[in-house]
Amino acid sequence: MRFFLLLFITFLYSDEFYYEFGKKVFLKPALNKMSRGVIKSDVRYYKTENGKIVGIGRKILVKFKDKADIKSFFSKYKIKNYKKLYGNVFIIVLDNKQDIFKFSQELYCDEDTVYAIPNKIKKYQKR
Amino acid sequence: MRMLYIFILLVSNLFSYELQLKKGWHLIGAVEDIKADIFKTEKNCIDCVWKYDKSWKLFIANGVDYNYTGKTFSFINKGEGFWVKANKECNITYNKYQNLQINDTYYQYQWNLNPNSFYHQDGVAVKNSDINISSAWTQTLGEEVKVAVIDDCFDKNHKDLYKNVYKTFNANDFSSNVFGNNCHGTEVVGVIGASLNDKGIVGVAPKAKLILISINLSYSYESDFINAFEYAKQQGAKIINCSWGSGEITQSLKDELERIRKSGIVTVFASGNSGNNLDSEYIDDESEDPNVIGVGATDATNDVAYYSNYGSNIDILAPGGTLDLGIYLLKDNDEYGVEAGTSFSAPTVSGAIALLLSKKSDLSFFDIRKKLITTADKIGKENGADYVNGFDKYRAYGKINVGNLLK
Repeated sequence: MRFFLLLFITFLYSDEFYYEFGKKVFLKPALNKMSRGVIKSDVRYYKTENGKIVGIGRKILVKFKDKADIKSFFSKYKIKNYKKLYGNVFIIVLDNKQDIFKFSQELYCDEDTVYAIPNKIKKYQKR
Repeated sequence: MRMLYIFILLVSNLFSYELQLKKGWHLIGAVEDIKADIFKTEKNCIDCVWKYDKSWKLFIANGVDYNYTGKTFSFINKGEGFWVKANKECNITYNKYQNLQINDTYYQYQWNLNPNSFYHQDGVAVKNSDINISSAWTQTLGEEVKVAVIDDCFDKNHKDLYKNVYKTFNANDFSSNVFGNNCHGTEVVGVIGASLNDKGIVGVAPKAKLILISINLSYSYESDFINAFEYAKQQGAKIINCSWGSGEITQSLKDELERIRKSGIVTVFASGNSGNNLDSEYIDDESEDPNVIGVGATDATNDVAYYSNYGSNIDILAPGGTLDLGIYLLKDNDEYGVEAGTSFSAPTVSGAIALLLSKKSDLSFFDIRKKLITTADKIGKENGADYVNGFDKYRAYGKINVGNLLK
């Protein structure tokens, strides 16, 4: 029974990945174990293949290639809600209907982008 | 007319006057009784032929003997000084703090900086476990160099810090509020820039200008970290200290670190405290990135600390102490404390780079890295260190030697 449940969950979340450093990073849903007392309602939590917990909301970080026509890019994907971070790096805000994984995969595959990664919440350790 | 080319800026401060000279011109002499106020040249100025002309006299100085690489310049008449000119341009080094007295209360316990500390005298800290900073401090205290520290939170009003705070920024809410609870950042930034003020501890670069950037290390978006680095850049930081990490660098941060390096800023990362080999397959730590200086820890035995993460991309070690004998630090609310970790090794290196840049502001990231690793002490040979091409697996290129770095 447990085997089939795992198989079902794996099938259900098989599209939940993003590209980073040119590789697929697969995620599995997880409980929020990141920070006590700090919960953002629009953020879901996932475990990476390396066992790290990340939080993913409704924003994608995109870096464009130098020669990219950024205006046309936004028009092509009907992106209206975005903010420039610096240079060629932008934050794109998704509406509630859009699947952040599918959309970031799509943007990553566009020849104008260097990367398109969900704007993750991640835990760092003091050293 | 010659005087038109020479600007004399007399700024009364704790120890001396500061003078700004036209490049290529050097003053030999001293102001009043402060014999330390001697300009000398460096960069192998042995080749320079010195000439002087009494007609260039323009500054009142006491007669002192100036000794440089075997050549002695004697000033016979009290009250006379001379401008001299080298026949080729040399960088000016100004030993304005030669008579530096450090009376900060806990300096006697700062074994990482003080070669005559209480712990050296009772044998707990072995000889040379400090970073040989005394000779560097005769030349500079890091004046005017802006150092950013990105960390959880800071007590910017700490009595041993506030005078050196240049800017504060909260990368999560874009406010200037950087205070929090049990701030790791307060501990870290004090290692760099605790004031020389007869109180508490002294930092490695006690006259550096500090940019305090707070960020929630447990719960921040990647974009918040980019904002933190961008703010440091906008404010003119020359060095960015990061005493944190994850073992799994993100693409956006890696990209940002490259951009920061290309803009002429040196980023310093602590290697971490797990005793891990960072060359392991599943670790890609921030401190290993080629665009940063990765720093591990030494302890009072003058060898690598047992907890210090290591790997082929770590550059250098600096004192981080152990639980037996840690590093004296600032704590929130005007308190002081003792902690250990690579968190305190990284700011030691950041402070040392601030000293270096206050003397030579045009050095690139790669110049600085090269100077750091080629002037480091090859420690741990009695414990089996095996330096191949200057590098030991556990000890990187050795422990920072600030005196050598500034030579």
